[in-house]
Amino acid sequence: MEHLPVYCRKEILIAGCGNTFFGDDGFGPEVIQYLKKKYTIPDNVCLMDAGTSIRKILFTISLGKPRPEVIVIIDAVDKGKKPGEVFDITLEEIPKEKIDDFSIHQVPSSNLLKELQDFCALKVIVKACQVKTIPETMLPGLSEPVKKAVPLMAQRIAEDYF
Amino acid sequence: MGKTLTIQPVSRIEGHAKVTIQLDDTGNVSDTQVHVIELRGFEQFCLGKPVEEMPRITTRICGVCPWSHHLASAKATDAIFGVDIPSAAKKLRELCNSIAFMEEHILHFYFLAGADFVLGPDADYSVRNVFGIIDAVPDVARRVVKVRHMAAKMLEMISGKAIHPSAAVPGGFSRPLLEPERQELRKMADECLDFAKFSISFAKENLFSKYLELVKTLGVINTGFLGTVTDDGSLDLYEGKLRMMNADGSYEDFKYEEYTDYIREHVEPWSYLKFPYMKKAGEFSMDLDNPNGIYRTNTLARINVCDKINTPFAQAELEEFREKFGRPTQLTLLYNWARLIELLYNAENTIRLLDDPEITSTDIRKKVEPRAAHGIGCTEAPRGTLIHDYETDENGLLTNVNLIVGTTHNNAPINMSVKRAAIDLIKDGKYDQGILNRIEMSIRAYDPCLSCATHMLDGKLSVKVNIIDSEGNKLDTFST
Repeated sequence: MEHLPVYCRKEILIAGCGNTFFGDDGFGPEVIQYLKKKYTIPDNVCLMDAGTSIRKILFTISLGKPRPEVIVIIDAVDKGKKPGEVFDITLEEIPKEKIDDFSIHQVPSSNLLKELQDFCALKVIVKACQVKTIPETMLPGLSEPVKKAVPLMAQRIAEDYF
Repeated sequence: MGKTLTIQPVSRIEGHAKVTIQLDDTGNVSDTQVHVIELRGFEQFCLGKPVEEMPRITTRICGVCPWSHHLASAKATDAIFGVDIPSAAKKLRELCNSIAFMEEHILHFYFLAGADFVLGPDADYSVRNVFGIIDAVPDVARRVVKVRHMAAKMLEMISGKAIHPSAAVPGGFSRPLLEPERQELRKMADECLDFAKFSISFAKENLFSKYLELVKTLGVINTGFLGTVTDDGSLDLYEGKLRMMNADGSYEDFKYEEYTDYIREHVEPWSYLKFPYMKKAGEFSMDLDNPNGIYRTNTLARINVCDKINTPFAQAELEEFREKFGRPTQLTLLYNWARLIELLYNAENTIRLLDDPEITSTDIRKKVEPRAAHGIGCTEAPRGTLIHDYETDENGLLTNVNLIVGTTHNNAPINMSVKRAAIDLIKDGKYDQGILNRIEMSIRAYDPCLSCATHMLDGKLSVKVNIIDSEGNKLDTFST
C-alpha cells in the first residue's frame, strides 16, 4: 500500500483532463483548480489536475489493487451541443475500437476507462462540457460559455461526491 | 490500377499519425509516408514569457514524457542564467531522470512493444491490451505492476508531485532529499534492479529468441546514430556531449551548443514535422538503397554510440549484445532489447546516486539573475535526444524558442522502416491484419512521441485502413 501513488489509494478519484494550452481543452484542469480553491475536499477523495497525463494514471490504476472505487473524469468534448453545456457521458456512448498503440501517447483514455469498468468492477463517470472551440495552435484560455460552466461543474461534483 | 492503404487514426485532434502505403498496379509497394502532426504554435506561445516559467510550462507539452521536458528545460534555463547549479542538485535531477526512464521503459516494453512478443504479432486486438498481457503472463505481470507503482511513488517522494513535475527550478532543485526518504527509496531501488535483471533475462530466453528471424529482417534500414556520452565515451542519459555516428561506426563528438553545426532540418510538403539530418551529408535522402544524412536516436542509437556503460550489469549485457549483433547494429527491433539494457543501467544508476552521500545535501540551489542570453539544454529522453534552445532579452523574457524532440530526430528513420517493412511484407496486393500489425511493430520499436496536443474524450481514436485506388475511390475499409 505504501508503494502506491496517492491516486490509487483513495476511494474516489476525480481527475480533470485536458491541455490548458489549447483553449477550451483546459476545462477539466480549471474545474479542479476551482474545486481546490472554493471547496473543502473530503479525505476519501483524490482531486487531480491530470492535464494530459490521464493515460498514465489510468494505466497505473489498471495494473493492480488497490484501486479507487469510483473514477470521475472531467473533460471537454465536442458533441455538437450548446457551448458551455455540462452533461454526463456513459462509456457505452464511446466506441471501443482498435487503438493506435505505437506508444502510450496513443492509448486512448476511453479504452482504458472501459477496461477498468468491465474488468475491474470500478465505477467510471465522465462529466463533460461542450466546447465552443479548440484552437489548432497553442492558445490558452477558456471561451466565455465554457468559463461560465466551471463553477457549475464544480457544484455538481461537490454535490455528488463531497 | 494502384491502390493506397492508409493506416489512419480517425480523429486528427487526438490521432497524431497516419501511415499511407501506396501500391502500384502489380500490388507491390511503390511508396509509403508516415505523416506525423507536431505540436504547433508552441514557440510562438512562449515568446515574451519569463524563461524561468519554461520548466513548468513544458511539463504540459506531453503528459507521458513530462520529466524529460522538465529537465531539458531546466538545463536550458540554467544556461540562460549562466549558473552552474550545485552538484547535489544535478544528482537529484539525474536521479529523477533515471527513475522516470525506468517507469517509461517498463511500460513500453511490457505493455506496448512487449505485446508483440508476448502475445505474438498476429494476436487479435481483443487480447492485445493490458488485461490480455496480464492474463498471458500473470506472474510476470504482478512483478511489473509492483515495480511500476514503485517507480511512480519514488518520483512522488523525491519531487513532491505525482505528475506535472516542478522540482527542477532555476538554480537547482526545489527540495532536499531527507535521510529517511533516501533509505526508503534505496530499498525500492533494490527491487527495481532485481526486476530489471529479471526483465532482460526473461526477454532473452522467452521472447527475443522466438522472434529472432523477425528481429533480423523487420524494418531494417541503414542509418547513422545520435546519442549522449560522457567524456570517456560512456553511456549517459542526463549529461555529456553528443556523438553523431555514421553507419560505418565512425563518429564525431560535439557539445550541445554546437548542435546546429551538425544537424539540419529538411522539409517535405506532405508532413508537418521536419526531418533532421546530418548537416555534413549535404543532401537529404530517405532512399532505402542510398540513404543520405539519415540518423536515428532513442535506445538503439544510445547503445550503439557509447563505448561502454559504467555500471557493471548493464555493461555485461552490452558486451553480450555486441557479440551477437556487432556495433553499430541496424536491426530496428533491437530497439526493444536496447531498451532493456537501458532499464538495467537506470536501475544501477539509481542505486549509485542514492548511495552517494551528497544526495541528501541541503546545498541544492543558487540564486539567479535575468539577463540577455542564449541557452541550450539537452538530455536524453526515453524516446531520443531532446534539445531545448532558448534566447532571452535583458529582462529574461523569451525572444526565441526551438525544440527538437526525440521523435523528430527519428522522423526519417520511421518513414524508412515502414517502407522497408511494407515492401518486404506486401506482395501482389496481398495483405492481412498480421502484416499490418508487423508494419506497426516497425514504428512501435521507436516508441514515438506523437504530440499530445489535445485529447478530448470522444473515443474517436481508431485505426482504419482505407484502400483507395489510384483515382481516389475507396475500395474497402479495414480496421486493424
